[in-house]
Amino acid sequence: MDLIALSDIYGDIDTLKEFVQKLDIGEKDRRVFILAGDIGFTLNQQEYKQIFSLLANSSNCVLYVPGDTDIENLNVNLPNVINLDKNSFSLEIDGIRLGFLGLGGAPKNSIREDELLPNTYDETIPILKDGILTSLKINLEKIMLNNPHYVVLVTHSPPYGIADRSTPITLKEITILEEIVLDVDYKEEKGKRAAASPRRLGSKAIKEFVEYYKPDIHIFGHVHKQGGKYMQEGDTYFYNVCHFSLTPYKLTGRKFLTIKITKEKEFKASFDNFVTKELYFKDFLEKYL
Amino acid sequence: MSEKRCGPTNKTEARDYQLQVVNEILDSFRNGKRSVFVSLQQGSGKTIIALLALCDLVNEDYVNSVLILIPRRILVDQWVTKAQEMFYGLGLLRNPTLSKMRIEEIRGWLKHTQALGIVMTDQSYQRYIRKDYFSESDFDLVIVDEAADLVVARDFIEGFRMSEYLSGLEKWQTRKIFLLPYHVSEKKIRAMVAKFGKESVLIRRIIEDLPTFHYTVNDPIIIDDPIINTFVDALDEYYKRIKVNVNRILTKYGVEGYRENLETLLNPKVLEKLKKIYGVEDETLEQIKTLITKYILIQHLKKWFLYSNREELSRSILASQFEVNKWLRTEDKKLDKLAEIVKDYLNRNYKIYIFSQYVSTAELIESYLRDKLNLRDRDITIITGLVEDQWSRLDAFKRVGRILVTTPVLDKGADIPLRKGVAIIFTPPSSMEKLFQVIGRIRGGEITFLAYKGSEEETMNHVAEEIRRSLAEASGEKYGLDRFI
Repeated sequence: MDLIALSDIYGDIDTLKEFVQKLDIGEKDRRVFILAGDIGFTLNQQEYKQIFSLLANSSNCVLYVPGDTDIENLNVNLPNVINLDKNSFSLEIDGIRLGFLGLGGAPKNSIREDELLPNTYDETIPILKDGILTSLKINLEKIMLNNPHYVVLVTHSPPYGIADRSTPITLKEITILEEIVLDVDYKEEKGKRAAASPRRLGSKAIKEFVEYYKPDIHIFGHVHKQGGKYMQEGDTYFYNVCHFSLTPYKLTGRKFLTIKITKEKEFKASFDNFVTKELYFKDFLEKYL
Repeated sequence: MSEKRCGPTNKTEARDYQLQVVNEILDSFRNGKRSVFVSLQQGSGKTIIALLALCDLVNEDYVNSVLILIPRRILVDQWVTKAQEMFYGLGLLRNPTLSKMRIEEIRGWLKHTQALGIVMTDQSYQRYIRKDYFSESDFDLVIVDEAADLVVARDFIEGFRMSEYLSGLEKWQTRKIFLLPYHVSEKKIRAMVAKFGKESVLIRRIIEDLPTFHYTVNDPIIIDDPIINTFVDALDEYYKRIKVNVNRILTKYGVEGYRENLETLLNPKVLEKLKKIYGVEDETLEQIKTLITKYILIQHLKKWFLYSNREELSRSILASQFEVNKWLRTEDKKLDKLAEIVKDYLNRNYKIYIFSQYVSTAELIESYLRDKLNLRDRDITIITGLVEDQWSRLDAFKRVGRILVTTPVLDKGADIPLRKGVAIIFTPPSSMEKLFQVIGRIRGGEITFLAYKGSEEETMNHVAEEIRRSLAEASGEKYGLDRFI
């Protein structure tokens, strides 16, 4: 079984079409698409439907959470397309049982103040944070009833502290000096002040959840600069899978993650980019830069 | 002496030139100047000068409360401890963790005790001032140590501007002393002085009789990796082609200027000017923007290849290109050569300071050397902005460590004298000014560069030669650094 995870597509239907066309249709029933949010950006319902149909037609099912640029209640009424936001889903392919649960949107403090995005949550308000945690816990309990071999958490936001480090999107980022900025006293002081670092954009509620409830696999996106990072903490494997779209960074776009699950407790994950790999370096630069 | 609130301890003997600079600072303030910039060589005791001036001002009741700003958190403790060893009566609060709850308490502490003020990082200053925890009325004097980056030209569009961290300080009427190393370019110092207006004064000179640190600048060690050359040549060629294309467009529209600094063309104001004055159409402006963005990306990519930034490369689309993919699977020749050199220096009982511009490269170096040379934990220390316990790590390295791998986080103020040591510059800093800050930390010893054969070799040979020349020349005017900065 292949789980193919994408994030931050930003409505790039053309690239997605090309990508899907390259997939082996014979493997369709053993393929599950996971979308970790920011599927569209000012897309209408029809355009969302077009994206989901594309993926649904070449897979067993599509599991998604909306990101901060998507509308909160993103539902397209397609049979094998499931919204995982504050929801759960269980699946069995080739005798391997998987339980999925998810959370869409992004913490308010992870986006720029001047951005008015439709799907954010303020986890600094205790009651809202508790609500998020409760929803995740209930959905975990639900999938545990099926005794899954793997518990897969899909969120748009990373957990706080894991592949969630970023800086504002400015010209500075692409200049040769950015590392100095990044390196300057990132953590001013221990404890509280470190937690207040503006460069950690992950969700503390999600962090708390993964710390105590330990899913096997956690897939997320949102923080573009950390796309392609993976990490293992305890028994949990974390993957920041963004970004599939060609923007905001040409160099790090076209990314996707493939998780091949062969046995009950054995899987192989690898990042890849949707590009023509056989091009010579020169031609590659010409085409993709 | 005992009637004075503060002053140098018996251990501290001020030198004549220091006292002379102190008098010049005090005279400047008496003459109505508000900002004094002191630019002297490393090792001239700029901090002592500032503290002597501070004590005089305190003892004359001109100053009751001082704010001292230090560029890095790691330096605050070291700074205060040293200052208190050298001077009595310096009750200083170290980088206080402020919260709204405690601010009145701290103000009270400052007011009703013998405390002279607060020492904090530039970053803390920015945060606390922005939150209105402090204002200029809380201090009679501000001392900014290691103020070389008071103005920065980080994104080349704006020219020099106030550092993000110290922005706002130029509006304060409080008296200020800025301490700068001598090697900061004149152009930059002029920009600083201009920001602080007419009430500023610059004291800049070479002190002749300072003890000199002996450096040996080795010829760069050249690494031959034909694959890297293929990548770099292709990037260079692309880079040149973009430059030619942009120049062609500029020539076509009769645009003069901008050619030395093409990045300026990304500035919306410049683009607007091209449109209005030279009649460049929107479509062509878009074309220029695309070209310049590529131009910047290429410079960036070249550095990733040359500076072993494999972590970033492996997360980019280039990792999928078959040649890059193959290269990423081979051993990094630059790292391999580094291990060889480090082993040799270790055998000769040297302490080794390895500088990398990138955090990810520093991490890679540390883990590579640890594995390759089978090092013990205490042998190798890494200090970047990402580690919490920078000061403890530095202290451990000074006492028992053999290799220190670090980044620009230690480029200012940290004192890392290596009795028998070598600074290995794995990736050069962004300018000669920064390079001088880096090598200045070790207070003498060998300096070694690593460079890939080809264009990097030429550059590093040039840099090594320039450092040799600069170190050899005593006169400040002959330093000849400006053209690199």
